[in-house]
Amino acid sequence: MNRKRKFLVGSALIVAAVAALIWTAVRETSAYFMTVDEWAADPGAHSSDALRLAGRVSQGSVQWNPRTLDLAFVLQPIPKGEGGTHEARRDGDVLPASTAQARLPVEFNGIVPDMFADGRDVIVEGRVVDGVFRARSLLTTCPSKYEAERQKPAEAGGATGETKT
Amino acid sequence: MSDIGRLAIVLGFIVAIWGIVASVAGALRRDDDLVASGSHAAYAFSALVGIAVAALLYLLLTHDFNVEYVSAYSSSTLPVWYTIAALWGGMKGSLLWWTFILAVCNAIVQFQNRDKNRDAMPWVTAVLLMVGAFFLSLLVFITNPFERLSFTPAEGSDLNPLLQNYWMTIHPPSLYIGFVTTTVPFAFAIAALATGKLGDTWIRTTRRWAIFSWFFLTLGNLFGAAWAYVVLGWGGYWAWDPVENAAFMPWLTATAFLHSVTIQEKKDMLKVWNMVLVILTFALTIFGTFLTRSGVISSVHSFTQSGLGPFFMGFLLAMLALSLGLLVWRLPLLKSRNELESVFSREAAFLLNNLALVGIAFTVFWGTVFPVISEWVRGVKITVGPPFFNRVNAPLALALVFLMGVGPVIAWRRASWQSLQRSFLWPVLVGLSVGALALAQAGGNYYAVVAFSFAAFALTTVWTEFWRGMRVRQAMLGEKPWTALSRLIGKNRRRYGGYIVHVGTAMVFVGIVASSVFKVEVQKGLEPGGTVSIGRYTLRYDGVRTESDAHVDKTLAQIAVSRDGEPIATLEPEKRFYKKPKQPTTEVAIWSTLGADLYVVLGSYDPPTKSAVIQVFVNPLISWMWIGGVVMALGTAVCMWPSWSEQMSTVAAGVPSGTRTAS
Repeated sequence: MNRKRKFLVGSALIVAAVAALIWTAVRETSAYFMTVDEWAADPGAHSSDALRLAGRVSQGSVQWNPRTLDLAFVLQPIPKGEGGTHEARRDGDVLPASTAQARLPVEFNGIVPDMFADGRDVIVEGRVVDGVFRARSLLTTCPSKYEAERQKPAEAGGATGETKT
Repeated sequence: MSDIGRLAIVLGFIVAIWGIVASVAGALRRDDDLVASGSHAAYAFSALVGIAVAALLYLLLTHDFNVEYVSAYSSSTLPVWYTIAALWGGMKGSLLWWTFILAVCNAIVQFQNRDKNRDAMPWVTAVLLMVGAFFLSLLVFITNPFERLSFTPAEGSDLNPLLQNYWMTIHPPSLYIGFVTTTVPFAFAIAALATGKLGDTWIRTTRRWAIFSWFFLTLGNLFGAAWAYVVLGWGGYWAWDPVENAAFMPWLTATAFLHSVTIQEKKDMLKVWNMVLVILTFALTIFGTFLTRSGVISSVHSFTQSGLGPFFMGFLLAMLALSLGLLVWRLPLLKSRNELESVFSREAAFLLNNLALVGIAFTVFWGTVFPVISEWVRGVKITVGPPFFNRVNAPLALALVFLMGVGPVIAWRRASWQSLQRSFLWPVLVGLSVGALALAQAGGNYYAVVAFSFAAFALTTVWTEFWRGMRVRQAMLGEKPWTALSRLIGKNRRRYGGYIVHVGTAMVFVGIVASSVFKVEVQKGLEPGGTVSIGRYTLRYDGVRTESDAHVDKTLAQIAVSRDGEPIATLEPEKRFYKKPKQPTTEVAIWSTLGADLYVVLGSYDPPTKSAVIQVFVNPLISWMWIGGVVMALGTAVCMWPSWSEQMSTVAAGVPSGTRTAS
């Protein structure tokens, strides 16, 4: 009986340790996942948070320097009903005029995914610094027919160790 | 042909429903005719699903683009091999494929047990048909794979280019076989609960299935990693994407089950726990399918919303409620007779191993569903990335590798100090010296140092086990070393096969640690003639050449590679353009050695200036992962081998196979 209790206490300790590990790891590695318009509704709210934003590449905004691997473009909201699975909004919401016009400049350094182009839907991960989104990674999504679509996550030059270890 | 396929799945669904009703009624009323009818229904179900798969395959191979599925996932120029792979390239096809594997398993189970497990079989039949009927109901009522279009496109829109890869032709079948075969132990567990015959008959009957299932889950995961590595082009093989996690979680609980089940056999302990693991493993395979099909959790595998999510969730909850309800009802019968006596015992090592495996499974689960939970609780979607999974799982994985060295040799019940010394002196010494060596070489990365040290420790215990067993045979029976070794393994295949699996696991582990911790990367824009250096390698970009056919256009960069100044290879990383879906892809070039992989990506190519962006990774010891995977597969094959021959002989003799040779 006593022995059994000892094992129960031991197991409980292990479970608690794992729980604590999960708790701290979530706190330190989590990022808010939202659409550009959701972010634009209150840009100040997440000024210091890691973000994962879904949006559309504004037509004609892409600037790419193949020598320095610097990429800059403007992210805009994905029009209602075209967002595919990455649309965080639920049905019935209508974009307020102010956030539908939201434009967020994005900067990224690294190799650009194959499917990246004007007008594509993308997910960027990073932070907003001085009104510019500094993307650590850039994913393209393709709201087309493929079900098992998997895109190559592009990684920013120096930040690899941080994201994929 | 599409009408035949459609008819087959409709009939298959009806037959399955009848089979469930007949089996359950037959079991409750002890009516042998009804039970036999249920079993016949299972065979008919298998035949009908087989016809449906054959029909879809025929439509694909004859390029009948009037069929929506065929035009969406293949084209006239798609190579035959990938046309066959298109069978599981889309959602409808993969659901049918899943049902087909289940149907085949069901037929095998019916045949294996035609003269035995009479009490359990009607329940087994009912559970297997229930799962089968669920999958078919999706195809019958919601998403018809044989749907025809109102017009006939001249050409199909082709299989996703990313799936046109040899790994992709074997990865999904392996994973599906692994997923689906977990249903068999689950069905026998449910039958044991339903009949109240909770001895270890159900475990012995399904042990082979459990190992078989684990074999394919392992292969499926490794093939998937290999595919990601060669196709996705970011230099890694695992990104903790929800879809990858979906495949990983059942593997973890299945691994835990294979270990804890030996404790039940030997010590009659952990009965409830084993039931829970079997149920959990099955539930996680359904959950995995739900994840990949529902779009609830956004994945880089961007899934179109199929509307199937609620059905999977409903089915999952129903199955969980049913099985856990049964389990609670039978709890009084599942009391174990023994309890743990000491922390220094094999029982305790196995228990800890189980805690670590389930801990990892829970971590993966939590990280995967976190966006959904945070949205429920706080109204905002919060995602956790790879750092979360790595941070939490790294210590747990280390503990597992350590236990892998302890578990096989520590004594049952209570290990004495002397026995501990005898068993672990050498492994500990070797582990410590490798650790010291790693510390001198790798310096400050303590995780890697501990990882290599533990791996060496685990490998040495396995080595001493083989060595001792072999020496004993040599001394007692005067056998030659090789004879002694092969007979040692042959006499006790489950045990030594398991050890071989451990060797493979340690190798995979070392490969994962080395390639993630010591990976280096460089990217650079180059003119023709320009060079880039990384580690011992220098790469010179010599322009591109092009290839073109009806299916795809290729641009191949010419990269001359030298190591320590010696030219070693010319690599050709590519950009491809697939013409049917008008989709560009990147093909990496890999120079693989035992020590490290040189992994080269053509990031972009600018035709007017002929300049290119080249990205290069050096991934140390990554080939150990693949070799370790082969070793794991071999070890598992050793475990399974005698059960096949044994089974054949017992089947031939018509003897109930309750006996076994493995200890």
